[in-house]
Amino acid sequence: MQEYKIIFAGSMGAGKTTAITALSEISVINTDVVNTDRSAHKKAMTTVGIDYGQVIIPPDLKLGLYGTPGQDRFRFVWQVVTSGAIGVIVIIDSTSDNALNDVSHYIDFFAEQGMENIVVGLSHADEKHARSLEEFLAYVSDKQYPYPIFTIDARVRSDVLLLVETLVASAEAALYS
Amino acid sequence: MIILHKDEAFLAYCRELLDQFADETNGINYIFIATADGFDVASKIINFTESYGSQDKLAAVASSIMALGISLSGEFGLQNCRTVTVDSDTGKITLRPINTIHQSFILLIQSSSDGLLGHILHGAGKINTALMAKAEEYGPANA
Repeated sequence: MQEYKIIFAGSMGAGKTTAITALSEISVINTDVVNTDRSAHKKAMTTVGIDYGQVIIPPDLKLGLYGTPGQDRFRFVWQVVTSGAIGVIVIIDSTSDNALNDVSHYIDFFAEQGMENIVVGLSHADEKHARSLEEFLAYVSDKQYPYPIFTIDARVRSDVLLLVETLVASAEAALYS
Repeated sequence: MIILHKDEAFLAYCRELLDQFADETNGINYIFIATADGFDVASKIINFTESYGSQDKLAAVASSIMALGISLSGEFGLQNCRTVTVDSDTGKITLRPINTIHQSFILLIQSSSDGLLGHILHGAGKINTALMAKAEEYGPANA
């Protein structure tokens, strides 16, 4: 069986842990603790280490799903987990005031780490103050980022699977080109 | 929710405990308390070394390692992870969770090779007991 490692990165509260939990076929190992910085985000819990989940894509592909903390002070975790990964799924909360900058922030970081395969998932896209997909597409076009972007619901397995399958397809296409 | 590490009296008490621990225990180079989500609370450097990372970074790293240690021990069905230890040729790092009724913290002790683990763990236990009692002075849980 082929095994790949995929990173989930992105802003705090965007839905990385949720996405891994939605997709994983094993119970997810997580490192969530109480969030004491409610000024940064209102959510009760926050990831401080890594999340780990797993999914098997038939017929013979096993994917390790590694979630990372969103806050910059855990940047060292992003660097550590990048080793051996085939790509990164960046999840951005599209209702965040900083959503567009967040796209650059995470893409630029992982591109600098040598990650060529990046897929972007825009979460909370159905909420009232969400930026539109068109805004994000215009932004990434302007930045000349060659990465696919999707709107997703991080709680929905098929949405997260779309991100993962797109990333794997992109990685395999690069391998065989 | 009571955020203990934003309270000046609590911070002063943490610094007192670290001072006392450093006075009573040989072989300690660096000791600090951080929140479980990686914020610096109080620290004491006994033997400064230029290679030490910034306090903010150390707090974040410590919280990650503690959380990973707790998670890993859970995978083996082990209950109540008490310490995570890093052992090297030139010293040790001991991490201990402190779970008060209001908030969880991490105690990190960096000691030289001469430091006696038994003394260190005993001292860490005293800090744990003291902080748990101090937290109760702030009222019942979920206040």
